[in-house]
Amino acid sequence: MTRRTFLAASSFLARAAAQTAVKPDRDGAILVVLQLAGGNDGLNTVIPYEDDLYGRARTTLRLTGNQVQKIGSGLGFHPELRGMARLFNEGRLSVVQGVGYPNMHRDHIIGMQSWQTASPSPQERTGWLGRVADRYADADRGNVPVAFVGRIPAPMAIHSREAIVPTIREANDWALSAGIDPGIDARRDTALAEFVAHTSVTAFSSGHRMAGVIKSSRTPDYPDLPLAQSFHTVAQLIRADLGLRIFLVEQGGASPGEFDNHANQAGNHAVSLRELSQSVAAFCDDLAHDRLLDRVLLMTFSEFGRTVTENGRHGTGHGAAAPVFLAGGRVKGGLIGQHPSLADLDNDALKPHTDFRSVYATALEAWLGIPAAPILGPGFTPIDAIA
Amino acid sequence: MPQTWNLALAGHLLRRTTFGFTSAQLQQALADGPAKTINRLLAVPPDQVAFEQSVAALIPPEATSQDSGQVWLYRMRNSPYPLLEKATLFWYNFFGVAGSRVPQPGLMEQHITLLRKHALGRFDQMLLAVAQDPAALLANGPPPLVDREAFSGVTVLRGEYHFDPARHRGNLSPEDAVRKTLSEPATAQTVVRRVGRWLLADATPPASLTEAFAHDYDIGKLIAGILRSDQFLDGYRQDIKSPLEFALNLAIPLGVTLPPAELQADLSALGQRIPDPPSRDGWPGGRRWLNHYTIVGRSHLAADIIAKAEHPPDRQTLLNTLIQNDAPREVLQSLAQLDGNELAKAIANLPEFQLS
Amino acid sequence: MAVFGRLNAILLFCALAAAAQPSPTADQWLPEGAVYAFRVEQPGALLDLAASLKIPEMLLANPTDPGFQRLVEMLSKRAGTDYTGLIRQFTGGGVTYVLYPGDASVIVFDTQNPQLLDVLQQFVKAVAGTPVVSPASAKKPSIFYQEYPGDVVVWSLDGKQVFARTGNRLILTNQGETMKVLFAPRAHGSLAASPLYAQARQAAGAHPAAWGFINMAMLNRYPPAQKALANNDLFDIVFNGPLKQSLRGANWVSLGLSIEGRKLRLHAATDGKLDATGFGAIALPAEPGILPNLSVPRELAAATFWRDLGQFYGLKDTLFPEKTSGGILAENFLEIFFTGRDLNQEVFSRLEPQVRLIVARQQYDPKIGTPVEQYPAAALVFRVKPAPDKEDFGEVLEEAWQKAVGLTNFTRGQQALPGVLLDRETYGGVTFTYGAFSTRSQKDRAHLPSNFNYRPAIVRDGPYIILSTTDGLARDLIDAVNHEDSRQPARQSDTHTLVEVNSPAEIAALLNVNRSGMIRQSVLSKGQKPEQAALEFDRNVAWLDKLARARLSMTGNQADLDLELK
Repeated sequence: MTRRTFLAASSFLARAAAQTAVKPDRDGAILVVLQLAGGNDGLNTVIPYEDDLYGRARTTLRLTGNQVQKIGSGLGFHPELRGMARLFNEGRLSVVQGVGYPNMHRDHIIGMQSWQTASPSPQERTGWLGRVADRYADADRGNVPVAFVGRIPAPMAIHSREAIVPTIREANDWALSAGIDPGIDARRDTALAEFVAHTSVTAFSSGHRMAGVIKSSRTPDYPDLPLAQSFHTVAQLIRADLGLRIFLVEQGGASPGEFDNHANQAGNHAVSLRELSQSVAAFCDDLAHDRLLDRVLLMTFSEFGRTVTENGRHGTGHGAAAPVFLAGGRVKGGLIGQHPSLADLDNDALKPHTDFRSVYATALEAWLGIPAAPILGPGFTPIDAIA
Repeated sequence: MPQTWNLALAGHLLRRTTFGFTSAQLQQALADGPAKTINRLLAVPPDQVAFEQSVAALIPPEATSQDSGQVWLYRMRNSPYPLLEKATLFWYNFFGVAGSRVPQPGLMEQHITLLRKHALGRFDQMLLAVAQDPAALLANGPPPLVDREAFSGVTVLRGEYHFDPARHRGNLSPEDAVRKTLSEPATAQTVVRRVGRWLLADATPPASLTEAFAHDYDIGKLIAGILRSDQFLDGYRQDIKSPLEFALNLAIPLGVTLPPAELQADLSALGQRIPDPPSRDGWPGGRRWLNHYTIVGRSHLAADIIAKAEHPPDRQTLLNTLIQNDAPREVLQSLAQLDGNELAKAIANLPEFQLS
Repeated sequence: MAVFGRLNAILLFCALAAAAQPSPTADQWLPEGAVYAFRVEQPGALLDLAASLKIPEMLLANPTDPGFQRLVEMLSKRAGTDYTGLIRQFTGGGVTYVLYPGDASVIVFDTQNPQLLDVLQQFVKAVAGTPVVSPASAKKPSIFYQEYPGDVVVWSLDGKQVFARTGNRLILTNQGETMKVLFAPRAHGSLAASPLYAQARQAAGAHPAAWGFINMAMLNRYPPAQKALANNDLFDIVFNGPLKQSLRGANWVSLGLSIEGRKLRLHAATDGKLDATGFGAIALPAEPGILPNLSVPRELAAATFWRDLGQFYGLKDTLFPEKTSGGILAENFLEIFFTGRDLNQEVFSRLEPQVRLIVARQQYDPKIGTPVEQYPAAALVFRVKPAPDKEDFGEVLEEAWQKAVGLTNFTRGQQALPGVLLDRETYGGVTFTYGAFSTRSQKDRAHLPSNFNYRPAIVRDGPYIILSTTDGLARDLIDAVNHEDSRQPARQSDTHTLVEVNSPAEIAALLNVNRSGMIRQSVLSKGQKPEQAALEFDRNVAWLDKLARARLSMTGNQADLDLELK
């Protein structure tokens, strides 16, 4: 046995051992992570409209009980979150309140990096989803578990060391027309050639399948908005059954991001939330139509919330804690955790009580069925968010 | 020296030592035999100086890492001395200096130039130079294999190497630490194994070469020795082409010129952003290049390249040059009805073409 | 080929009918319903111009299809002339190109030499008669040649492009079906008689050398065109917006090219109007109208825009409903720079609705140094309206400008890049502020990095505000506005956009200084070899050398591009 084959065999055994120890109990479960760039103002997204302190702090940006869409516990959704309010009422949307981490960075670049690497070390070069890819992309099978769907440079969340994580702009990027691959599936006489042939056969058939899905797609009702188009692409990729289990999508662009409203927040934020809500609703409805929603968990995050008090320019500054949305067919629904107190602020920002890595752990362990500790480090328990 | 010499082996030699070859170059190598071809590949060609001058004009005054990558891709496509560029890329991967960690203009260009200077020269001189290279220090800190504590006083100030004795800890100066590393036999073994990974696709080079290398750190001699060794031809199709090799192995015989900026983006989509490897260990390579997405992506890239070919060669030339006509009989039969661009695309999709 | 069978029958019938007609002009013969049409009515004038610009030599220098080249040589010999003479005879009576819906295009050559067409016809007949020798490819070209009574000949050499010849006229279409329609008896009228075409023709002028018609009524129903005209972006504020708005409501666009000696005028007109909503509110010129362009040494281009910025800011949400990250960022910053002020009422509306832009080549002070890549200097010139409360709005602007410079310095500092140092200077009786990069750490003063092209300056000279990328241009503009202030030149009240290039030689000079950098860009972004890129660069610069000056002027529904050649 040559050194190479011994190494291959031993790593195979190691991998096999790892996989038997951690069998995913939800086969086909899919995670979609949505990044909102710029620091979304959670306080005006899930609004404590009855709280006096809210009204006093948000002199011009305040939204009243008549304007919000009430969801109970003295909270209401921003008026533009119509689609998401409907999902909430259907029990398909949860709001995890007060999410952040100790000593939150209020700088766009380092702040966003923290959420993407899920590591306290600023030297960390890999993203949490990149680490998932490194662990679960099998070099001997060629499967692709993670992808970024979008048109900006790949966010750090998918940076990996070994696995190649694709950036997909549209479903066509993975489509192949038929008849271009004669002779791929013939038998080859070396192990490496067999690996390439076998992987190519799977790749080409996945490409044909993707082309078929694009061609046969009914035109579902996605609004003409960038985020909606990304979700549409994700839905098509899911239908094509390509082996992708985790998708990263984004709204707001590259740094600093469209949610960064230091001035004239009312109008701008409304437009952003409208895009968010319409796109999320269209995505969930599309998946539900094909009975795929039960397989999908959508999770949103932003690098920080915003200051409680308005500045003098009808805008807000960089804050800390903010809500995370979870949507899908198997979420518990409703509010998870308390709204952070407006009386107990840290430098004019809401204090987080739930570490975002617990929410990540929920997605990894409770939803995808893979251990969180190798990805996030030890000590992050999933929250009770999955039904 | 191997007794047999044929089209397939000629192709193998050229694939290991260049980024691609035309039909004429392949036939020349076949006619000349391995010894003469290896000598030619190792030697500095007469038009190298003129080429260097023309490339120097292409480097922008404050070249970002991305600019340097594009100029380097231009070199890799057009250089009359491909072995030098391949060796430079090998060393680049060895040191794993990621462009995204070197934002200051001019430094990545300096790093690549340094590597090219020593790429076929002396490893000890290369390691000493890299130990003081600002880009390498900014991206990865102290060089690999060397005692890190000796570099505690080393920083990069305003883009230049700076040593502060006040912050220095440990007994050895940075330079002495490098020399100490070079004196250890394990160092030569590690390097030889890595070069073996490139040229022999994981087989171990002969022990005599390792000993010689430990003695003089002569990279050119090591490479020559490996190419001339009995094991060299055993490595036939034992590796997988990187995205760069895939693209240029197709573009060069078809006479297609790819704009460097575009090629950089295409390769980045396939997992090889030049110059930005994912970690200080460089690109893992091998099977890691291929997954279901990158295979589809390679097929798209091949179609784009082939669409740009103005005069595709005839059937037999395509088969000979791209895969040396070496494929299972049933595969060749399934290609029998195809010609021109359709044939080129079908060949580019074959496992035989993915293998190096 | 079945289509040719049917074609045959119909043509036979039509040719007999057509033979009895007198010979109409091409646009009287072609049917109506064109998407666009172009006619060269005075080919001689255009050919004379092309000859003086040595265009034929340039075209001949590029290798063309050898088969076509042989044909051209043969025809030239028979016509007893050279390539240029051949073109003259071939197009002497005019050339007409029309595009119809369904991507059907027609070209009509009205030659002055019917013998030429005889030669061509015989050539094709001979080719049609000889057996076809197949090349390596298995496909045979489908050659079709048929003569009809009534002096109509129809042929096709590749089964796609169809030619017809009748008398002095050679007709070429890209679809066999189209040729059928052209020769069929007409239920509908001719192109020349259709009202939109006729209106456009009238707007093109009395005797244009060439002119074009675009059927906007048709295009405005075509979704891609709608989309193209609907987009609003930053370029639209400056340039396109008024143009796009006029086109959206238009039925026709007319383009007329007139030649008078060395002067060319391209006159564009439309029946669409700029009305007072949307961009009309911003760009519809009003009294007192625009001031002429300012003039400085080494000027590359100067432009004047009548744009009511206050109105623009008030309407921006309607004009740009989609928020972009960049737009939100810009808004954030403007709010910071003009803290506490209402951007519409208290900032943009304080400026006269005229914006002037000047771009000029820089002269570098040898004591400071010269950058490797030389960028032009650019400046914006505004005038502040007299304020009822006598507030010094210029000072407000300078404060905002200093904040912007500070923010830029800070951001550059975050990326370990140097910032500018502020300084003041008095010139022409005006004290102004500018920022400059220090050269203390520069080793090579002859090859400075690109940031040394920027020395941002702000000048407040009476009602004038000058925002310049360099202090040098600022000084030149102080001279220019002082001169203008003393002369009080006349204004034009109908023009909303005016762009003038008075010395293309300066542009050529600047390009040549940056030659190696631009060649490098071509090599890396287009993949050319350096020699190829150099050739193309020199060829493009050579075009500039032929131009003496250029001027673009736009009113509510007309535009004139005047070129003067050397």
